Amino acid sequence: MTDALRVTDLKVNYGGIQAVKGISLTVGRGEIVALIGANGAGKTSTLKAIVRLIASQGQIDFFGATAGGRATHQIAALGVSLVPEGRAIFGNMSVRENLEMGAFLHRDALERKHHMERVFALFPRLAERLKQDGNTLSGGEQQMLAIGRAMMSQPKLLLLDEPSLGLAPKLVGEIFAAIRVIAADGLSILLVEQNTRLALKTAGRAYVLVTGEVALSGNAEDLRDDPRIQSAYLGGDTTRSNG
Amino acid sequence: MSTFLQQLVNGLSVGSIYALIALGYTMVYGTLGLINFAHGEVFMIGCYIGLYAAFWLGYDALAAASFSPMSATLVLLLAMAGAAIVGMLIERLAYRPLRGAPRLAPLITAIGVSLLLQNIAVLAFSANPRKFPSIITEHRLEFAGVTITNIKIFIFAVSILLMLALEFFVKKTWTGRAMRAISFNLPAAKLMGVPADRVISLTFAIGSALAAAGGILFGLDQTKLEPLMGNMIGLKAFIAAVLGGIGNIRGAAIGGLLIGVAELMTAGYISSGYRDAITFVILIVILLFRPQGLLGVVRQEKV
Ligand SMILES: Nc1ncnc2c1ncn2[C@@H]1O[C@H](COP(=O)(O)OP(=O)(O)O)[C@@H](O)[C@H]1O
Ligand SMILES: [Mg+2]
Repeated sequence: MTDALRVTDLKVNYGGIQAVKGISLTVGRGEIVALIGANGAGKTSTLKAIVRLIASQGQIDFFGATAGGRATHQIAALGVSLVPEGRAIFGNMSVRENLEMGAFLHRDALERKHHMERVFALFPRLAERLKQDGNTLSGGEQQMLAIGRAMMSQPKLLLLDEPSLGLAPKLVGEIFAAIRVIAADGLSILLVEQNTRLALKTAGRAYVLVTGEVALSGNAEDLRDDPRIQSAYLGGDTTRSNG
Repeated sequence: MSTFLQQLVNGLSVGSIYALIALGYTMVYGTLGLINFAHGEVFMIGCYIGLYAAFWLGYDALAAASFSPMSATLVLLLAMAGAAIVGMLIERLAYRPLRGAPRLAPLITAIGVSLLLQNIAVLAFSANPRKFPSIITEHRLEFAGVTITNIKIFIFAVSILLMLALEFFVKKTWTGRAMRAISFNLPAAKLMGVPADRVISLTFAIGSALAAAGGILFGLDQTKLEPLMGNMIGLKAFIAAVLGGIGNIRGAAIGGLLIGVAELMTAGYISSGYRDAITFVILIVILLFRPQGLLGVVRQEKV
C-alpha cells in the first residue's frame, strides 16, 4: 500500500537562504511520525511546503498522488489537513463557524453534525463555547479548536505544527490525549514538536531535523535511548527542552 | 425644521449611493488588503453601460415615459453584470500577478489602472458630458414642506435591498463565509479548502456590480455622466469606507449614509460650496481620533 505521505528531496529557499536542504521522509498509513528539531531547524517550512503554502523543490506524494501542480485548497481536498503553528483560528468567527469552516469541503449537514459531535467528544470544552468568538479563547482552547477544525475536514493525513507550544502542562496532556484518540482511529499523523520527550512518547517513528537536514531518524523508542538525542534534546533529566 | 428634513432625505439618498460604492472598496480591502483605486472608474463604467443598455433596449428621450419598469430593471442588471466582468478582469490582469509582491506595487498599479480606464473612457465615450436617460419618470411627493421624489425613494430602497442581500450573502452562504475567512487569514482559509483565487475574483465581481448599481442610481438622480466622474465620487466612497472602518461591510454602509447626510446638511446650513470639503474634514478627524473607523477593530496579527 502507498504511504500516506512521501516527501523526497524537499528544498525550501527564502531568498538566498536555504531553510530546508533536501530532506526525505515518509508517513505510513495509520502511523504517527514525529519531526523534531530545535527552533529554526526548518520544521514549519517543511510542513508549509508539503501543503504548498510556500514554494519548494522536490517530490511530494499523498497516498500515491503527486502534490505537483496542486494548490493548497486542492491538497485539502485530498484529505490532508495542516494544523498550523500559532493555530490560525478565525478570530472574527464563532467557535461554531470555525468548526464549520473546517467542513468547507463537506457540505452535507447531517454528516457535519456527526463530525461536530465527535469533535465535542474529543474536546468537551469547545461545546461550551460554541457562540464565543475565536479570538476570545485561551491558547489551549484555540489549539483544541484548531485541531477540531482540522478534524471537521475528515482528514486522512493530519499535519500538526507544535500543538504544545506555549501551553501549560495540563493542557498539553489534554491535547496529546486527544491526538492519541485520533490516531487510534487510523489517521496518519505527522507531528512536529520541539517538545522532544513528548513527541518521542507519542510517535512510532521520528526524524530529527538539524538546520534543514535530517540528522537522525528511526524508531521513537530507539531515539529516546540514543545518547545524541539525550544530550541535545532531552537535556539529561529535565522535562522540557527548547533545543 | 423642514430644511433639516429635506436635507436629511436628500442626504440619505446620495449617501446610499456612496454606501454602495464604499462596499466594493471595503470588500476588496478586507480580502486583499488592497485599496482598489480603480473602483471609482468601475462605477463610471457601470454608468455608461447603463446608458448604452437603455438605448439598446429602445429608450427614446422623446417618449421616456413609455420606457417600462421591466426595461429599467434590465438596465440595472446589465450594468451590474458588465461592471462585474470589468472588475474581475482588473483583478485578473492587474492585481493577481502582483499577489505576494510588496504592498506598494499593487497600490501604484491601482492608480495606473484608474488612469488607464479614465482615458479609455474618454476615447470610447468621448469627454463630453452625456445625459443619463430618464428610465424612470420622476414624480414629486410633498410631505410637510419636504419634497421627495419617487426616484430618491427608489435609490434608497434599492441600496438598502442590495446591502441586506450582501449582508445575508456574507453571513449565511459558504462563499460569503469563505470571504470572511480569507479576510481574517488567507493561508488558513486555503487550508480549509477555500479556492482563494476564485473567491477573490468573486469579491471583485460583487463589489463592482454594487458600484454599477450605484452608478445607475446616481445617473437617475444627477443625470450627467462624464469619464472623470469616478474621481470625486470614488474618493468620497473610499472616505466613507474609512469612516465606517475599512474592511467592515456594515461600516461602509453607515459611513456612506453619514457622509451623504453630512454633505447635504453642510450644503443646506452653511453653503453648497463647502459640500465637498466636509467629506475631507471628516476624513481628517477620523484619521486623527479613530483611525480604525467607527466599526473597525485594530487588525490582529496574521499568522
Ligand atoms: N518567511 C521567511 N522568510 C525568511 N526566512 C524564513 C521565513 N520563515 C522561516 N525562515 C527561516 O527559515 C528557517 C527555518 O524556519 P522554520 O521552518 O520556521 O523552523 P522551525 O519551524 O523548525 O522553527 C529559520 O532560519 C527561519 O529564520
Ligand atoms: Mg516552527
